Amino acid sequence: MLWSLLCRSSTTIVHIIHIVFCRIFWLWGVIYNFLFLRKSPAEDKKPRFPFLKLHYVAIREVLNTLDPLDHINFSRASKSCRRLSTIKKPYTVELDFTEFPAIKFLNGPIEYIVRWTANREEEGTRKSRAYESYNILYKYSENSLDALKEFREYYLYIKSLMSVKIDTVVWDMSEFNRLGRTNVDCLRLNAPEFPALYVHGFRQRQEELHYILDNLKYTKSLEIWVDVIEPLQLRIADTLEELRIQNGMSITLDYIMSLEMRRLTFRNTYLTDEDLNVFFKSWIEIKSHLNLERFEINLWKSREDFMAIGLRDIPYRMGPMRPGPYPTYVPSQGSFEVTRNDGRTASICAYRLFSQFNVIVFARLSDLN
Amino acid sequence: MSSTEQGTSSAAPAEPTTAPESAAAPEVPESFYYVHGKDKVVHKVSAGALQHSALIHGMISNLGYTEEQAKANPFPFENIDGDILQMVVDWCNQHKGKPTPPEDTNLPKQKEKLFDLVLAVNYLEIKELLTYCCKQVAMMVKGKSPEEIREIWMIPTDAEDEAAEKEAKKRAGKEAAGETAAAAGDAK
Repeated sequence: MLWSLLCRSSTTIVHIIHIVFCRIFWLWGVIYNFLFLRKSPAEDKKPRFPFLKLHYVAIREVLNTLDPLDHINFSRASKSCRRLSTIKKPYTVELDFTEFPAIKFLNGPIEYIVRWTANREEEGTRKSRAYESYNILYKYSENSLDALKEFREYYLYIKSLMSVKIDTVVWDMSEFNRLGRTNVDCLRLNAPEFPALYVHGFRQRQEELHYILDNLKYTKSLEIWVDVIEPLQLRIADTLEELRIQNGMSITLDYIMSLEMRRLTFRNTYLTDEDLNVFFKSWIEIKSHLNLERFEINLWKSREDFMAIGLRDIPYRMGPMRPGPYPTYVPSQGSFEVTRNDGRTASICAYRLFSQFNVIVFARLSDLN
Repeated sequence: MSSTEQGTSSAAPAEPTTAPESAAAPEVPESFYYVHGKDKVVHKVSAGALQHSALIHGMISNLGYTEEQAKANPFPFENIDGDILQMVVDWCNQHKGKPTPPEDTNLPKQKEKLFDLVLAVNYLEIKELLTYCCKQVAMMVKGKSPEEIREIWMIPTDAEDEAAEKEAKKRAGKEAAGETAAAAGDAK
């Protein structure tokens, strides 16, 4: 018994000694690290590379490899970097004048975006989504007004740094009414013209919308999705190739008949099947819309009503079911193939789009094949 | 010269890739040249592998050396470290007669080695390898802020640049003054 007691106590003592020694070694490790290896972990990991000591050819090669966001950041590292950064391929950009604005670099397979944010924690962070092929750099700004000011300065900076060409301007009227005209004037000064303008807004005055439309020069495409108080007909230059009006409550048949653009889209209009019948007959008789390539409009009634009234007295033959421009467009049976008096064929297709029907006229040969 | 000749180990695996070529033209034996770096270690490299380097290719294109002459006259690259030259030779052997892939994962990850490699590759005018190396250099600053880029690429701040410029001007002024004084002394 005494022997077993002794055995047990000796095991316990050995265990205690083991624990004590472990603690002592651990403590020694901590003290040693503190005294002799006193380097911050960040300092150890810092990779160092004397970039500016490379040959100019190699520097240029590296700079050409940088994406636009890294390239801009490099140019801001010092004045000598700024001088080196002027060598760069041209970029096409989209400017988003929204509550928290953004600049998008559109060249290549990946879209690089600088977006302002009210979230302080996002400042300087980069997010990329490979499946959507974009890469965003966030910049913090306390409020929308400061964000827009910084956005303008940033754009002017990149314009001085690299060759940038504006492709699209997105204008959200709702968020910054007070600075709307100032921003328009600033943009007009720095970008005399650009191909596409998208204007969005809610409960806006028509004169404010017209200030934008009259003072910015967009050469190819215009999309208006503005809910206007007391809407009137818009004055839009016929030289555009494409016009899309999303809140088309004030659109009349006369207005549509007066337009000469190649591609027209109207949603939420009060136009009737009778109006569409007039439009189609005018096209068939070569009285209007001679260069029409695509025409889209909403229907308030059913496909059957459209066939009965919209296509009344119009000779057509049934064609294949054609896919819509987006997956949300669900084709409704076959298309109606009509022929203009000069022999040109158009395909009229009806689609279910959420709760309503839309009709699209494809009048360009490549869209039909 | 220590002349520890290396029949470069990476040259051996590269041999089978050239086999179909030699099968197509068996009568033309492949010629070899010899290069050495700062460490004087001589590397035997085939003319096919050396074609990657525009500099060396230009040097050897009209030489018409025999095997003995080539062995006796290795090309000295005293400005390139031995291990860096070994890397370059290995790369040239691995990519001999092959289309270069869009990415190369075998490049050194250590920043000091990469720096020396870029210098060497640029000097030797190996365009494809320079492109790979420069991509790797660019990756160092991917997603970094201007301050971080300055840190990683050891870029002096504007203040440091200005101070260095002032110092250089001061030195140049002193040297000019010294020269003027010496010239005046000579005239006397």
